[in-house]
Amino acid sequence: MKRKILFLSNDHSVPFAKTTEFMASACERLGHRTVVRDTFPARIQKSMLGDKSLEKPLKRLAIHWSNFLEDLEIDTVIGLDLFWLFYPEPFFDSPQVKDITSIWFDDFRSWITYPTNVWFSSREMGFQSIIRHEKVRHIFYGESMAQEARLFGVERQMTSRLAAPAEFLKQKFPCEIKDKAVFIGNPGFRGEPHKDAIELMKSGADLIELRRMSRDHLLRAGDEAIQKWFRLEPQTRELLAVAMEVKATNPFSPSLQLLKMAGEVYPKAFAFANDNNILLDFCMLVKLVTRYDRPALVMRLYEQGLVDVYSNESEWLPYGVKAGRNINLGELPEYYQKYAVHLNGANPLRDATGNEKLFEIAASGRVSVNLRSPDVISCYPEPEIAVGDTLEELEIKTRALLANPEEALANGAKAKMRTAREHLWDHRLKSILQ
Amino acid sequence: MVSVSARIQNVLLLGDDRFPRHRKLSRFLYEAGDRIGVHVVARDVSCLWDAFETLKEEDEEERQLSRYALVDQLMRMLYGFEIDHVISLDASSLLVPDIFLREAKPKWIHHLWFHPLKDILRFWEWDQLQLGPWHAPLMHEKCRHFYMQDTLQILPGMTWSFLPPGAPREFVDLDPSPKQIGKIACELDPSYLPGFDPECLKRLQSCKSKQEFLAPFEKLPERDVIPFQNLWYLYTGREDLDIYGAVCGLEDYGITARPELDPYEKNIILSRYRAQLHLMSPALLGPPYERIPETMAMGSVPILLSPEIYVGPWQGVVVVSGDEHWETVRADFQNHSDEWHMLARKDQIMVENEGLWEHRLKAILEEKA
Repeated sequence: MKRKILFLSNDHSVPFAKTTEFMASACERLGHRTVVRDTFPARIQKSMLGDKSLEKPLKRLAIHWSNFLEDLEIDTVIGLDLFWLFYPEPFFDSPQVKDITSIWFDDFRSWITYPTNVWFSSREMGFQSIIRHEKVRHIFYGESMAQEARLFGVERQMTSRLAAPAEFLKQKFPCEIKDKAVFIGNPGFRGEPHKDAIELMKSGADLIELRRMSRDHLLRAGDEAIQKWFRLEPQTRELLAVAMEVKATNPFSPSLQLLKMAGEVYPKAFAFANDNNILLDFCMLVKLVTRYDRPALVMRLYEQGLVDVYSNESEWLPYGVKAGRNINLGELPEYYQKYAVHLNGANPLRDATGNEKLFEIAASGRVSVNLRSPDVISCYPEPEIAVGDTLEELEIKTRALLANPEEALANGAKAKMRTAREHLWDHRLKSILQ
Repeated sequence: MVSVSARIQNVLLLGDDRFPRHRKLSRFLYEAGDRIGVHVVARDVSCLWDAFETLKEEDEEERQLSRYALVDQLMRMLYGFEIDHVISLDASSLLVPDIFLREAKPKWIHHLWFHPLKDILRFWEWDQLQLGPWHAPLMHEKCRHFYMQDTLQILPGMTWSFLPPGAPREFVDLDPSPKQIGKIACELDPSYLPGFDPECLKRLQSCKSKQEFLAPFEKLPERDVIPFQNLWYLYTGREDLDIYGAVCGLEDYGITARPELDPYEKNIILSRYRAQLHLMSPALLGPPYERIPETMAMGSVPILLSPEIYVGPWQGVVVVSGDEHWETVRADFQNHSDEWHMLARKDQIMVENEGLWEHRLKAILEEKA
């Protein structure tokens, strides 16, 4: 069945806007009719006005969207995260709109605490019934995100990997740098790194030591809120300690699952977190055990002159890494192809490792070096990508690829072919819309 | 297949979704762009207007903050998408402070006009929202103006080009079966007709010509006369027409109308007719111009009502010039269906070759400064 799809974007974030456009193009290629609209102004209105009366503007919005839906005969609404949520009534009330799909990039906690989303907190009346509405489906790219959503009672959900835009397959740029790998991106979690972590990285420590250091630091120091939880329910420290220790050795297990397991031993602490609506905050703390995985890999190879780093210069400074300028999204295909070998690391807060970059690097015909996570290896086998469990292993793999760039390029070409066959937005949307 | 260049160009298309024409055109140009290798990012400015409207009662600081955020958002779009051209429907870009003029990119802002500027400014409550001067941003050297119909007011000092509307490609492939319905289709817009008046009915029944019927209205402005003129043509041609659309009071004039067409099937049903009559729009002082190529793309002959309108490049249009001609057109339609069928087919081929929105988009982007 050919659909008429409205994509709702958040243009304040260019990556979100771009991905939305890529998805819309994929739907067009599948024969569906698509339009894209932005919801940021509506969200900013609501965040600026706070609790003041919104009756008049909401009435205007309702008329506007009802006309729009009817005129363009929209039957399907797709938004990244909850970007359709600025005012959902017209979508729910329209008899022709049968399906509202959230494709999640963020986790629930990050979305709810985003500055222009705070007006729609999880505690607001109606939020639960809206996200559980019979027309609404949620798509997650990792099991961890799906589990967290289930906390909110989200049942109509499925998992679907991220993907690459088909547009990347057509781009052709020369491979100019073969003796150095590249990492394009930020260090991940945007907090100041602990000085002990930097010292450990400099001493050549591997991931397990860094994760344990991170765990100890979180449990010992923490911020005021965490200490308050520990005072109110002392078992919470034990609950977190157990979950974090398991996370250090099983970094790809969903944090919520680990907390649930630990909760069987410390039920009072788990109930305390659940009753006080802080379970997602606990999840975030568990995820932060792996916060140094990405910067540690980059820093280790950077210190040996094996990698160039681009983007977010100031965020890399504490790690002693002098990063090059930000790469605009439009330049990404060029920079992906400029280097023969890429480092890739997932953002710890997503708790899912099959990030967009994994697919985009492959679509650009280049090989990436990744941690051996189930998400990653289920998408590409070796040698289309390189994987390792430790920093040492990842360094060895990177050196091997740099020593044999022709082989690296050949592996990248295989990864590109697989991407064209299996990992484009076209493939994902085809299955989501079936 | 037409192509602009080997390099993909990025176009930001701004329209006000409260206008049905803008909604549809943004959709059509998006698709057209896809076919000629131009990436069209289509967005709605009514949400910006709405934000300004909602925040107008806020204090100055709050308002500035929100405006800053909205401008910041558009700047991100400009650079994130590396926008080369802005296409602004009815000067929609005016709602955004002059970022498009200030920044090195985009190089061009193409204004496509469907409505008179004064109507647009009134619609946006321009003065009330204190949106600033509008003249200079429209006169800027980056700006080009295209008008879609000849009744638009041309502002002094601006260079304008005529750009006939196009048709979406999908209309060409609606219904390949031969045209079977021996009547002329006419889709009604209630705003094109007057309300019921018993006096008017008496005059319709007694008057012998359009001139006689319209005589009492001759001192009224043209836009007030148009609904009566439309009524006259509907009344006199009612036996040959299949009229669609519920208009209050029409039955009392002895004119039978079928129910409004379902939007999902509308174009498919209309495409089964050999000809479609388009009444005059009082607001546009002409027919709904974009329906001309759309009708042709469906394989129907458009019939228009005023001999004075500018039909642009369209040769296969039938323009009714008066009572006698209206009668002749209807008789010819009934007696020479094969010729009408041929004419409709010729029209369709012409639109397919040079009258689709992708041809228009190409013309806009390649227009020399």
